[in-house]
Amino acid sequence: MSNNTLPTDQTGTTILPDPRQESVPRRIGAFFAQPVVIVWIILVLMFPLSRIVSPNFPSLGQLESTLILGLFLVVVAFGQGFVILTGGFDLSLPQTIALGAFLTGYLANTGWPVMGAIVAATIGCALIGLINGLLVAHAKFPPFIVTLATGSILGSVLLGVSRGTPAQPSPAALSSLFSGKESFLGVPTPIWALVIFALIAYLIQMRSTIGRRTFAVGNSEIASRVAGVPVSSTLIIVYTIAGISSGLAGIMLLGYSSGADLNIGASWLLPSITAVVVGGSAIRGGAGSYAGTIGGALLLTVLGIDISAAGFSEGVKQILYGVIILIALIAARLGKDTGAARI
Amino acid sequence: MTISTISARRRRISGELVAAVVIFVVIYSLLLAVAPFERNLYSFSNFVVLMMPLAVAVIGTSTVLITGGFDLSVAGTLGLSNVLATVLTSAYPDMGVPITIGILGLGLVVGLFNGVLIVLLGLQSIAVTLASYICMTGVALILLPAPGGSVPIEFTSMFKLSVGGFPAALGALIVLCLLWAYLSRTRFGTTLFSIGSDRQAAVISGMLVRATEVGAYAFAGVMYAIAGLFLTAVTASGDPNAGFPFLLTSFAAVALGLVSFRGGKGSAIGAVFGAGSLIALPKLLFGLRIQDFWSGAILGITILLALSLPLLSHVAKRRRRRPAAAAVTDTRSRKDLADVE
Amino acid sequence: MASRTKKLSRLVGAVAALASATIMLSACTAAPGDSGGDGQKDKVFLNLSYSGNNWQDEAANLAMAIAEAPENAEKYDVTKQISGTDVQKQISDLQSMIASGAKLIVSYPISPTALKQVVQEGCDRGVTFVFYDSTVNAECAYNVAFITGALADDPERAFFGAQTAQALVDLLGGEGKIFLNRGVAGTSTDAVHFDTAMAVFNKHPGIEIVAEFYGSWDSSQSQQETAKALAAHPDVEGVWSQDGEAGVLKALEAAGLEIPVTGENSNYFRQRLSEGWPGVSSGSPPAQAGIAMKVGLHILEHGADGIPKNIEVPLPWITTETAKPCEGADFVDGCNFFPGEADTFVTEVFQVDLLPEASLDAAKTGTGITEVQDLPKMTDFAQAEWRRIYTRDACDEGWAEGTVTENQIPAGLPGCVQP
Repeated sequence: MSNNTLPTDQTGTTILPDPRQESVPRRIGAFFAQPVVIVWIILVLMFPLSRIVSPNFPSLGQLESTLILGLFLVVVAFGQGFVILTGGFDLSLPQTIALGAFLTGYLANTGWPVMGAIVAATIGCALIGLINGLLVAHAKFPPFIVTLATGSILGSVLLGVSRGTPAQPSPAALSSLFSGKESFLGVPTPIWALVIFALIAYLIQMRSTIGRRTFAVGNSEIASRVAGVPVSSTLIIVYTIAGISSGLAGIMLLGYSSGADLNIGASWLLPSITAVVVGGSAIRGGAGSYAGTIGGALLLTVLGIDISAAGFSEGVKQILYGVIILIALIAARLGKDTGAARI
Repeated sequence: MTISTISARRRRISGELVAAVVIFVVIYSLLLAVAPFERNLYSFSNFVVLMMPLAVAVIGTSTVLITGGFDLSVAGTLGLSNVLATVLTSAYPDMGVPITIGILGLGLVVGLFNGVLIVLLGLQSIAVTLASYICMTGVALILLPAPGGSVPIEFTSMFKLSVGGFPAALGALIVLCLLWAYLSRTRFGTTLFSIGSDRQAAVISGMLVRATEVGAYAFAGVMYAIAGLFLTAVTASGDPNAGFPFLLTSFAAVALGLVSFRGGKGSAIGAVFGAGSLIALPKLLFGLRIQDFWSGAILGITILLALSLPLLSHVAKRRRRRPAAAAVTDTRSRKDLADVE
Repeated sequence: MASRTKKLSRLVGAVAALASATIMLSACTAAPGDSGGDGQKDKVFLNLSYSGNNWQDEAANLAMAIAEAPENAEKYDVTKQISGTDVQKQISDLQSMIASGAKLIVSYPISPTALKQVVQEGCDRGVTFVFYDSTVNAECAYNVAFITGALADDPERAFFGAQTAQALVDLLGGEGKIFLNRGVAGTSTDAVHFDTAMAVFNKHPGIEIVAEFYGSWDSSQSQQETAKALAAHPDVEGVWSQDGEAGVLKALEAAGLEIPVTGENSNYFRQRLSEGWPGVSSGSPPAQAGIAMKVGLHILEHGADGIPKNIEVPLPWITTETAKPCEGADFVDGCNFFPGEADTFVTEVFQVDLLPEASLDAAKTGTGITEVQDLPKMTDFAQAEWRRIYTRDACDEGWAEGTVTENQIPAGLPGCVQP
């Protein structure tokens, strides 16, 4: 437990004393001990290693599929990771994804322009996040159970409202953007979406005021308060951003599948948490980096592709996923220990 | 952690327990009021047998929660216990007792595994238990690829005995609750609560923090295994996906049982009543003939209302002793303040 | 503090006394199974698993439309109940329905085995149970299912899994690399489809299964899983799919492949078939739920005479040659899909013999059936005894488990035989 009392920086690694006192090899060692770096190294190694399961790997098609399919996980894991950074959870994520997809499809069908429908759906999802945020920040309810409750309510309302037409077709423009059939400068459009989203999300989490405040709140609410960080409004904004990112994932999934029903978000809850954890973030908050989360999301996606190519049965697949999470956890832990040992 | 804070905690436990009981009694009385067909021993017995898996499982969930940890392995252990019980009793119908003991042992091993990884390696509880949950789902799928199996009636009746119309399961549940009440008063119990409210202080005061924490996960594992056996009795068959619903319902039940999600507060007995509320609520909505799709919304609102109960009592308390209000900070804030200093 | 504790214990005592008094009092006054006074309409329940996708929604709507047709609405009081995917919740709901005096429960079972006890208890109290799509193994329940169903024009060709597998083998000329897109892992329906399909594939050494994945009967997940498999095997030559085939097609299109696909009944699949995509559309018709409700109401009205316990709904069978868009809202002139509906809309809302009165509107809204037509001779739709093991977990009396070699194509599947 002694390690927990050491100050940590934004990437979750232990802050070292004045770097000038460190020898170069030690600094390099510390760099490689960062969870983010470990995840990305494993991710890059995964591609040549894929050859074990399929003679067709590694291939450009494999990379392309990883990036296109990874898009959704990169987006949902951003919102989830941002909330986890504050020490919370967003269990309303599946229903918020469904709301994003349903509202966009529904409004576009009733004659709204596509952009208008997307904006309205995003605002709707932001509202769900806002409600979560208000309940967590002002009522001081535990996030895990608050978001479970709001998710349950939202799912129920969606079911009630959508009576008779649970599935919504996607507007054509959205489908062509996210189905992976169109390319821009030789690169499929979903990959562009991935790059743009990752950049914006990275800036929000790692370079903006709200990002810095989120780390502070996650480390210690009281300390943040003492230091003048507006804790409540930070929490509210974080949950609102999480709502928006889930909504965007829903909209993208609607486009990808050119249609969506109300169960579309159900399969994303556990992967969203897994990606964040594999990416090296602390589940109790205060430490983590979005670069790590992206690495985690893409690693899980490429693993999914490899496991699919290897032809394992579903039971073995599940066991593999579980073991991989454990390995990632232990690796991150050992990395942290070696980093700490250097002081 | 001084004597005074411990006795303060004791007092708060009973307040939360009472609230959990009141919620349950309100829901169940309403159910009896609106649904005349529930007013008989037969329906009551059905109700008890049906709530057993969840009620036993949340004893484990809340014990871990009290130490400040999250145990998602409930769904995995419960499902695997169900599948193993089915597969084994179908193959060896005469071995009911050894199989039961073996499955309890499995729960213990899984709990110890979780506990050791979490406590000794310092890993995050929610992540470790998520991983072990996923692994156990895989094992269950390999053992039983599709729902089925025929559990011999001798085995199911072991868990569904009825004494003069009253289900023996109710007795088992009361025994488990008494066991927990006893445990919470032993050193193990005091340490559990101390870990949840202030780990550092517990370490400093010389408590067996690590062993107790591992013990909490092991205890929880056994509870999940028992819950799986009761589920097997209810369904008389195995289903590789049977554990999945418990992943969220167990936490919803714990919330309705007013167990704190921040650790250090709450009672597993309250959680058992929470499980009862969670099972009774859909029956109440059915009795009220509320349109089916609203049930999720009403469940969510009930949870939010349950969460706001302590808040209301807090407000009331503050009104009564305004001058002391500034000194009242929850345990989390105290820990944070310690960090600042 | 002491006074506070006392107050609490007094409160606990009061609450406990109140509760036990209520329970005791009611236990004495109400007899079990009290079904209310006379003059009340008979209670009918529709109980489904989850909702929120097209298949479940259409199925529930068709059943409701039958139950709420004027001639039935005046006699029965119909309530719909969603149980979700938690089997305990379904058991609880069924118990509530039985206790409240249900006469008929039409239900989509979450588990084939777990409901046995509660169903048996319900039957003992005079409730009629009719299950649709999936089946239960309780002896007293009626099953209306397509799982073991045969083609309408060729009753020897049975099983969705086996027939679509054979069709794919034929389309590929007996050899090629294929994907299998399965349903929800760990369900009996998926297991029956898969096992019977494998029985066919195993007879053709030229067929190589290069990837097998679970699309969970969901278009979006099927699309993602197919895309993953395509990354490793861009040279795939055919796909055998359960529900979710619309997603399979979209993944194949994104990869620029137009290869034979067999799948279920989504609007998009039929649309593409009609445009020349090679394949076969078969599988689970939502019409089953409407048929189940008709069967149940028939039993309430006229008794169970002539109604077999095991009803097999014929397999729909639409090929590249026969796929044809409907101009209006009916299956007329051999048309079999609705271009105006969503991609994942399941088109099989009609069944020519068993549910001719269905309408597109009824499938979408749950209302609008004005006249319910009489059931045909139901013994014509009885499941063959040799296929019983797949839906009841056991063979009939006088039958034993064995290999079925006659009256069924493909021959050699496990089943029930007469010694």
